[in-house]
Amino acid sequence: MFRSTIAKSVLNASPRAHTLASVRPALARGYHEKVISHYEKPRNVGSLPKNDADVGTGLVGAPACGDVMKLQIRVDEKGIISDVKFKTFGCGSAIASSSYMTERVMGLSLEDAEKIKNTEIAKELCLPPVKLHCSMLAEDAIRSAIRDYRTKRGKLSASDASKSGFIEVSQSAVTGETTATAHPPSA
Amino acid sequence: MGLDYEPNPFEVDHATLRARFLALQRLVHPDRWAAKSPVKGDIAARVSETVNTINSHLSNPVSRTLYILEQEGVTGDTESILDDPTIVMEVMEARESLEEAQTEEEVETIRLENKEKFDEAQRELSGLIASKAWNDAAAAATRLKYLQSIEHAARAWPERLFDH
Repeated sequence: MFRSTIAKSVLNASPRAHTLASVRPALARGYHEKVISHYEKPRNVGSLPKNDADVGTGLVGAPACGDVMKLQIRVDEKGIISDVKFKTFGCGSAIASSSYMTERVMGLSLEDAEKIKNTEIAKELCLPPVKLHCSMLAEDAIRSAIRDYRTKRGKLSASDASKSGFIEVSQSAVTGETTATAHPPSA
Repeated sequence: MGLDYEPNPFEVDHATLRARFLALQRLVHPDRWAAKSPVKGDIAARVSETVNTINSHLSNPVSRTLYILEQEGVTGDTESILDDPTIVMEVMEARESLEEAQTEEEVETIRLENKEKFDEAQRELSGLIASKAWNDAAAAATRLKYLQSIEHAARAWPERLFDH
């Protein structure tokens, strides 16, 4: 999955290289072509209905630069991310990081999706050190979306626990560590 | 700039600041010094630039607060991520409605709403700084910065704001 995603984004990026001159000068000067590709043709932009039970919404911001990012996932019965949308107001790197993240998590299980590290995004997009926080923002956004989804499922299933089973999610006030326990359907 | 830091460094008398700024710029204007010698002209140009920077930092409530917080030893963690859903949601909604706005009137409405929030947030921030509640002031400054970014986006409309 990972490899094919990369291959796809490289394919998307390379034919655009010679069109760089048409890009706004400020962008062409400072950004890697992969960033520009995602910035100019962001993948999976939009919103999912945030009140749907199978949709998790992550909302994060970077106070240092004033960026805001929304990342939403739809999760199927098998716990696989079946749809993903994002909306980011911020710099090219933040848009590219979230756009790349949506491609990366599509079709993954929640467990695999939450393992994605910002360093992988930064490496893939060749982000310079000053833009690393953009990739951290994307990492935080997917985690926050997964957390939101699990909280939602937890609440929903608690009221209907005997039939459908549920996932119990708790967060330690001391360490901030989140733990999830699956409670499969009883019969 | 000869402005008082006490009792509340956030409250700046803008008329005084403006007057001091103009007086200083007259004194260090590069043209005036370049006529005497190129070296003096160069020095004056550098000083003049510094005066400009200080002036714009003091005029803007967000950068003024960051300066005050720095003076007080409260340095914002630049890597930190904000996941306070209330603020992020507030900004996201305003930016989305700007994006969807069709007319200048709609933009103006959003701008006015935001201006009210901005003014209120400024008053709150001023109070926090007066009572030296530095951590709360830092949080309030973050929100003020976000509200300012909404204003910038509204001003850039219908162009998309390209921040950095």
